[in-house]
Amino acid sequence: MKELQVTFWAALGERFGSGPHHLRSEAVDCMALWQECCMAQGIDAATQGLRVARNDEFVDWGAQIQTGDRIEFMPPFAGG
Amino acid sequence: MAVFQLSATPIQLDTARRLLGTDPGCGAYVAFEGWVRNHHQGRAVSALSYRAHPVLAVRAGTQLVQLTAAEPDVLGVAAIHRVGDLVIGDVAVWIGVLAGHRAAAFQHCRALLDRIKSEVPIWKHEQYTDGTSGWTGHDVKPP
Repeated sequence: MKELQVTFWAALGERFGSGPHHLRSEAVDCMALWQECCMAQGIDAATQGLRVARNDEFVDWGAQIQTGDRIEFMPPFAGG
Repeated sequence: MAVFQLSATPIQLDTARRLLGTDPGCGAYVAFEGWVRNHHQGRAVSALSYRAHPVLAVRAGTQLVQLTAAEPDVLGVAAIHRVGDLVIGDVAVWIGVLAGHRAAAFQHCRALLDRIKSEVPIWKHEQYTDGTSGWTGHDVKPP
């Protein structure tokens, strides 16, 4: 079981709570963690347009996660 | 010169302009100011706020201005994006490009703005005159 710090930005924060949340998870990668979070909230786990970061680096959804990682889920950017 | 900044205070245009410096080979200066308007997709907007990822936004924005600065004929680039609470008429984003000729200055100013909007982790939360509010650009859907 991994201990993770998970943050949801902007519109995702309204649904999941912005965090950071201190979670325990067996997810092996960012996609599995995202699916786990969505399942708990009963929402669609589609990732279209979303980005994920691990320890302040953008990563692919298949990026492995380890205990102590900080994972951040982000909706499409909307600056300007 | 290539500078990207997030600003929690109003953008001072004279100060922003000075970020670009000067270059004797410069024949064109193009600046863009994005203002907070009072409507969005048919809804009346009263105010808005921007949130940005404090690390990734600066890194992504800096990479974009550096890429722009490396373009042929570009002699200087700077961009500033507001974060925090803004009111109608405030400058939300400022971009300045110096180039040898106007075509490059116009082209790269617009291209940089487009890339900042789509590639820098910044989000806009709008407040509407009917008392509601919401993040722009994304809805979380049920399965």
